[in-house]
Amino acid sequence: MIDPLRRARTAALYLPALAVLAAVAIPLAFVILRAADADPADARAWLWRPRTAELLLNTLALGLTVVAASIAIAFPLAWLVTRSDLRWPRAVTLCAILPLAIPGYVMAYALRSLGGPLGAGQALLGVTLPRIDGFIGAALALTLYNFPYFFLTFRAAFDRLDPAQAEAARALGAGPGRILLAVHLPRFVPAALAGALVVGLYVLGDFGVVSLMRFDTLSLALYTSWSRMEQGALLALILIGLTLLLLAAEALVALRRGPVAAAGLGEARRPRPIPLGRLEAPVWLALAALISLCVVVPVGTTLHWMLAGAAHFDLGDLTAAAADSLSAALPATALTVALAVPVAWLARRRTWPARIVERAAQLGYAIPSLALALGFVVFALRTVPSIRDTLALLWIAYAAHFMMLAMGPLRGTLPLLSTRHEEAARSLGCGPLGVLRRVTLPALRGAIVAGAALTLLAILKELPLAKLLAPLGSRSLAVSAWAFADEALFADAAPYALTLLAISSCSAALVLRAGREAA
Amino acid sequence: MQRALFLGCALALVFGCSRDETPAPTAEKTNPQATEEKPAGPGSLVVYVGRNLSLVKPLLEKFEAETGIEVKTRDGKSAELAALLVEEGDKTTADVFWAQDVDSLALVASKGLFAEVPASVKVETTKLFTGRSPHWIPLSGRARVLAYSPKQITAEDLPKSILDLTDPKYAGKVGWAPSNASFQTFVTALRAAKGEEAAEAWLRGVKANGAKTYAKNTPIIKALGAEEIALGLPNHYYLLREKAANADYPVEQAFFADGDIGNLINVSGAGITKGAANRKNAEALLTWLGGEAAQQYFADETYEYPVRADVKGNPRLVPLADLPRIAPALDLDQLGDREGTLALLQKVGLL
Repeated sequence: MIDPLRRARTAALYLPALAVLAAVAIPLAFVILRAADADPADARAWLWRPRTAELLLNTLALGLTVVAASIAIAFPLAWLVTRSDLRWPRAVTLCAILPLAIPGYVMAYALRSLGGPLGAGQALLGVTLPRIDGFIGAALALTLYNFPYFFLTFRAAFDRLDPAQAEAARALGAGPGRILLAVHLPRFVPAALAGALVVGLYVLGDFGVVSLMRFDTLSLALYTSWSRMEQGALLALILIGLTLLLLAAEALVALRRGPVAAAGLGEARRPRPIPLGRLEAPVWLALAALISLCVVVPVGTTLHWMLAGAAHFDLGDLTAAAADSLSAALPATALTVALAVPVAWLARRRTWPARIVERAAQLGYAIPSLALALGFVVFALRTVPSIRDTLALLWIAYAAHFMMLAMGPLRGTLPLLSTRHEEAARSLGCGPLGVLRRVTLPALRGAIVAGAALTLLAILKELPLAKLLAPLGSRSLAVSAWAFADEALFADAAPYALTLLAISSCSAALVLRAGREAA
Repeated sequence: MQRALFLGCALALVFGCSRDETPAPTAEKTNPQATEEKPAGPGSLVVYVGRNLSLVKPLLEKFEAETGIEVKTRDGKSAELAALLVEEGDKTTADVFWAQDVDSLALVASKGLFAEVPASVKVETTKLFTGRSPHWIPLSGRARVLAYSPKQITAEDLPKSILDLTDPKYAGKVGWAPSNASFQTFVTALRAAKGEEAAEAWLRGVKANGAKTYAKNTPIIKALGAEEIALGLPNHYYLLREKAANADYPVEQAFFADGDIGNLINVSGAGITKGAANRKNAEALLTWLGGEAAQQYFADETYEYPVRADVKGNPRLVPLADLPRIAPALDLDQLGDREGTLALLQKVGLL
């Protein structure tokens, strides 16, 4: 006998999945329909030229470099704050997340303004540093504010690591290095893949940084193709196809590896911190260098903008912008996380509908945001016009776009959890919702918090959706700062950028604290 | 059952995202809200602002204060908002589109989304800014100039024509911004004035001469200050803003020889959408923006050229009266073909 109430509850878990499917299908349908308008001969001539190959190669090289460099920074950093006896791990963690809040163009302007005869190097040190640009400049700037994606997912995965394994390895005579390589490293593959997808797709779509660094990638073609909507849609479709390939490859890797959970849930015991010993001084030196580059330089540059120029500063506008930012970002983050958790959880069942929904949820991130925004506008106007100028449409669009960010840490952590405890709970008479609430969610709290932080910070600095979908008259901090900076009014941009940074760091700190208290 | 559900969803999506295929009505749609004389106050107005909103917000606030009309805005890049308007079609809530460049206005006009500007709104523009387009009016002028770093090149050595930038003398010294809308408008002008082949040859020539590509105007001004390049091709007001913050900024700018195509004057302008619910208010705004007070604001605060002659010019600018001599002889209506320009820039491998 199956309890009908229980069946209804199980079905309820599929509702968020359906919502996610619909939210991604809308902009996807828009892109496909617009791309279908393209003249095939015209499209071939435009796409099939040496320049496309050049742009594609540039994009791939940049993407791979940024991913590799980000992992190289994030992995040791996550290890330091979770496993070593490093002092002030919380402050270091916060500093390592903060770069996420920095808009790409601010990072690029800041790094560019270090060198040259008028640069910060000349003004502060009396040394004319070279002006960074090109491939190196673009890779550096993108790495410096994207590595926290990996850091957060790695940190969540470290938190869920089973200390018993490391202790067993140590008992068998393995040193910390060996434990890191043989015991810990293989368990980070899911997290690394999830991060690589997020950062890779970001690099693919970024125009702000690469254009300021004078390095041409595919995003140049994307950026200039929107006045011919069918061209832009065609390119978007190609990007989506590439993403599908990546997702399929990722699924293959995951299948081959099989489940990695060992002891699984219930290992709440913290392992004993590994002493840094003589390494402490060099570690702090490296941390100081990293934090100066990714936090001090951009924040310092913004402060310099504010102090050097005369801004017409309007406190009323600033408060209104902050309110607009928060009223868009907070509910959108809650919605995104609320949808991401059941989708990621369902995907563990390895049934094909669950997997399709999981992939679809990630696809939203691959749809260029301008296409995504226009898709939602068109759909709303043709179905429920009254929603066009409401925050609700913006929240839905954000959820569709940033689902991947909220899911990343979850997908990095879920494979590490054994299903045995859930099965035990089921056999003891706990319903599926009860299992989710009492067994799975507590074990996932770290990952949920990380996903929420990533989503929130990304939404706070997001531009195209905020510009096209926000209700009339509403104008977020990010949009205001960008609009000033775009017109070279850096002094006017600075207060907005600094408030954005302040709000982002406060919310990051709050989220981190919530995660710690819950753990 | 499942199949039917799936099919239904697919149909809903196709319907929801498809273009409105009903041909645009030739007669202007009379919106019930517009015809109904509402006795309850002057009402409101929705403006899509493709310019920097912060720069023009004081103007809109003044308009609100004088007329009592509430102005609601959405701001973004002109090209983005034009794409948005095209997708929204006649369902848009926008009454006015105020764009930074002719290309975006021309795109919206070409899709039949602008109503004709009534004769009552026509602004007293100087001859320089008079276009034939019945769908939008010019509101301010922006000149393309040659910016240079005096430490690296003297005023005497500056090229007399923008066409000279292919000269080996300037190899590796020039900075430009092919992805920037103002530069693209210049390329459209070049194509119109000298023909496709000459435009293509010039683009290829300057590229082969080692021109450095920048994202937009501001980075060009910064690169000149940093002595990364000696010559740059921006709009005229970016350097003036930089100098307002730092009077000693080591960059200067000049026009090419009189009548050179490199001295193109681009305009910002505005039109009224076809389905505008607040048509009367939209007309009032356009008239007001073309009026003396608003035009004086452009001259004083945004370092732009007013479109009417009876406004006191900004002393930092070359006087408006000299522009007809300096600017190339070109009709504003020739500047609308962005598609052709993008295709050319793609062809020569700059995009």
